[in-house]
Amino acid sequence: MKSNKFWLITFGVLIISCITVIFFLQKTPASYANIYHNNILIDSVDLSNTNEIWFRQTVNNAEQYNQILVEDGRIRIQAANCPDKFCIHQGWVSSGLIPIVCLPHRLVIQLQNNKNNDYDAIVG
Amino acid sequence: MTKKLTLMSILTAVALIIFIIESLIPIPIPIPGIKLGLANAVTLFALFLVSQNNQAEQKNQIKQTLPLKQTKITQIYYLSTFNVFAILICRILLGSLFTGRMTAFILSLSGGILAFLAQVLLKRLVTNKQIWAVGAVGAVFHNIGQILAAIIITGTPAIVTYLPILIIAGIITGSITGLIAQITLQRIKQ
Repeated sequence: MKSNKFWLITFGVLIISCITVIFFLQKTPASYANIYHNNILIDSVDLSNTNEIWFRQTVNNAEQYNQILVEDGRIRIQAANCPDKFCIHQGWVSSGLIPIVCLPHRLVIQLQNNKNNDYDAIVG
Repeated sequence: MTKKLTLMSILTAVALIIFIIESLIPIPIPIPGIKLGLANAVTLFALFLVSQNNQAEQKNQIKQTLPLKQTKITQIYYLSTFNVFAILICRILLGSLFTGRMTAFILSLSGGILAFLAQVLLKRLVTNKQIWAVGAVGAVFHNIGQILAAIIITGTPAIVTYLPILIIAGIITGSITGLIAQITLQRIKQ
């Protein structure tokens, strides 16, 4: 482990393998978005309809909201009052590769091919 | 004793300032968890301040020169692993308090501790010329720790698909951070 060449080769191999993994994972098609809150399925949305979903909850006397926009095969979080705003910065997601996650609000939007009709709970 | 405490406080303050300023820099990449882990440069610097090759020499030199009042700077500033760990924990705690994001605290903590463990283990196997590699490995483990914490918190294992991109970004940013620490140490030891 005492030579620079060893580490260059190791990291090069690691980077190449990560790139190949990314290429292989790009081929996940998705036509439905399943929205989970605290790992409980609350909504299953068809991606081909243009739709706007509001997710609200009140935690510790503070209202949390996420505005989710579905449009023509893709989905994103448009507005939210979480402190990080990472979910908004993720932008449009149309492949099933990466879920949209709002960590402070415990919200996960996962794109899959199957429509989940058995809701565990429905949040109004 | 107080000299060591002063050194640790200064390093903690520097790491804290770097961490806070870095949180204000917006990164145009939309993947959560992408950041320049510049504060890790301070951790690496503290960790390698006395490398293992010099440790035995320096302890002998300290014993020999104790009766004298004059000692070289590098002979006094020796930080044990626990000291560096304390600096890390203080920086994470204060950093997440000052930036006001306690949700980031758990993620930072898990990533930081895992990265610290990896860097400490690697320190024993690596000479002073490979600190950049230790930094890169540390950044990768930091991202792994953060993803693990995120998976546990949200309960969705699907977040693990972020891992390949974060590993690549971690190697790049970690190499830069480690290089900074390496060059700084080289300049100081002259």
